[in-house]
Amino acid sequence: MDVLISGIITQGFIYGIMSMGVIVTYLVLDFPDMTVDGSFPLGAAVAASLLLSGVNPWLCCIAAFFAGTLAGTVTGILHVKLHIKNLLSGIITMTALYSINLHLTGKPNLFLGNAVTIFTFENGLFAGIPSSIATLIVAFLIAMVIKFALDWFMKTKKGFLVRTVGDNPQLVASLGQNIGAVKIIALAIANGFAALAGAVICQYQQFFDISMGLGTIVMGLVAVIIGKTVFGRIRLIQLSTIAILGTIIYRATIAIALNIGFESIDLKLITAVVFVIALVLSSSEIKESIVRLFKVKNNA
Amino acid sequence: MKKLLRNYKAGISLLLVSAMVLISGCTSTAASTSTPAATATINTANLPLIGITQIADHPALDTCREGVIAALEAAGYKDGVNVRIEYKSAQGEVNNAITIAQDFVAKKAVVIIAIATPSAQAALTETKKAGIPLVFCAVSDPVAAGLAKDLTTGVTGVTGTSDKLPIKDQLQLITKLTPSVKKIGILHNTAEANSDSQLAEAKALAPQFGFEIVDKGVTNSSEVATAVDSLLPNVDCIYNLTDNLIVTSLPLVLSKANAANKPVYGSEDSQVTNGSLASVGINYLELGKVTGNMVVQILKGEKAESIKIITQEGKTVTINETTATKLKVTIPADIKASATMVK
Repeated sequence: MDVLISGIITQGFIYGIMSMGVIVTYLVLDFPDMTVDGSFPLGAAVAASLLLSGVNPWLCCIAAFFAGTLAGTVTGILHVKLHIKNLLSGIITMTALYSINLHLTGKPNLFLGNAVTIFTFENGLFAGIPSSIATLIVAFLIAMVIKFALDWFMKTKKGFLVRTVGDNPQLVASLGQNIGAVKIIALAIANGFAALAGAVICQYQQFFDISMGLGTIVMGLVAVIIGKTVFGRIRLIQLSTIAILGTIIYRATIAIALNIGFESIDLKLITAVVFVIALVLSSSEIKESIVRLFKVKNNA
Repeated sequence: MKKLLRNYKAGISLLLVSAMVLISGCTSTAASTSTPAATATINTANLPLIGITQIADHPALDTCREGVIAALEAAGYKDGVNVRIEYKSAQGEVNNAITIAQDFVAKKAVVIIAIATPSAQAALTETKKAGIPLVFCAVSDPVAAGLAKDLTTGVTGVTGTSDKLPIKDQLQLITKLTPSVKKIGILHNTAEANSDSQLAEAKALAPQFGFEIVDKGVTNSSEVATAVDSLLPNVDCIYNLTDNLIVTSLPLVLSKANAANKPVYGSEDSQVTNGSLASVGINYLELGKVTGNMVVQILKGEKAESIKIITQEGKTVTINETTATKLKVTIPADIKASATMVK
């Protein structure tokens, strides 16, 4: 398969893990969570430093996930317990994470070298298969595990509460449930996903860079909105599927823009245009939630 | 219901458009490699592709790229004539650097030139699989970045140029031009790997000259002003590394330092042209040309890893006369004789 196409889909699956978190916080909970720009490189930092000290790469991913849930919990506590606005509490955690990530790795750029990663296929199940295909399969499997875990969670009582908090917080309160606790759980899960995506990406690209979180939440939001616009009307489609497919389309858009020879200085402009097109095409409920997002920004 | 249907249609059309562009994009690259030249445009598309990937648009890095292209032209490789040179910047985002590398690999580039560390690392992951030679440029520590086995030998398929700041010479220049200086202030971006290693070296060398280094880390341009303000009262001069963020904020650093009547030393000649007192440093155009010549060797059939990595340690002294007069700095005759003077 073409390197570019397998690259797009692989990156789509990996960043899709992050988008699945964004869909929970943003679409379900109506919480634009900026923490992601910090928890994504946090996961990469945790994974990179553990990998270099010889820890099993899968354990590194799990550790990264838990580090991410911790970051999400901090944002949740800032918002719920200290009553800081949602956008701001995310920005605060993201800012703090920058220093924490540097402390974890010791320097702004780490090369993973010949450390064994989840994408090392020399001798194992995937020996003999082209590495780009094996990489794609592994990325797909991780995304599927997360997808089914999220689908399952959303069907549990807690998952139901998460949905209800977004739609109708009064109902949750009237059921005698703690709205704050539900929000914190959702943020923890979402940032766990973002950190896991960071851990997987850093093994995929074989290096950690402190700047690698740049633009993550924008990517997540655009992906989720594209996904919702294009696939949202399909009956019974899971939110997780929307997130993954949206991310693949977003990565494809960037790759197409680069491939057909747009000036790379126009990349951000293209992202913005795609964002606007998706928004305009999307349903009115998303329009409303975006308007709310900007209202929050203006108040902040 | 009607509205619902319309939205659905709109959504599907967005998907179709992206799919169509993707498919046409792929077929055009596929066609370009298989069909013989019929028109001028296809002709250009058939030329061997040289891909240049750069992490961000930044004056020093842009100068490197100009040097690379100049060296290629000097050797007879002209864009659109007998080669195709494609330049892409990742706009600071590492995820874009990966996509750029994959794009070049998919287009079957004959050689990829990567400017600055993250772009080189992103390209390495892809070129390694595809067996495309990679030439890096302006990577300060290629060994730590995983691009080289040691300071002269690249990993398989890789060679390039490293820019090593002549920090020792710089400290020496400071003692000669401004002997009263005891404390040197260094501003740096905590996110830049290059600055990290340069700062560590400056700190290690400082005691030899009786200097004390006071450093201040910043994370974005809005913090530079505060950092300079808090640094200036505690130091006798400021020394700027090749830190991208600080160099971009140079006018601000200079205006504050001038107000405090304290000299600012730089790490490349353009910083001196812009008002810093003096520098012993790297000539990025030259660095780019050296890199370009390596690309030429590869195009002529040499294996990348057999070309030695070159570390350019610039020794060019550049002094700004106007700034020297303003700060009442007398320039010793022996230094003046060998230095490039700018106004």
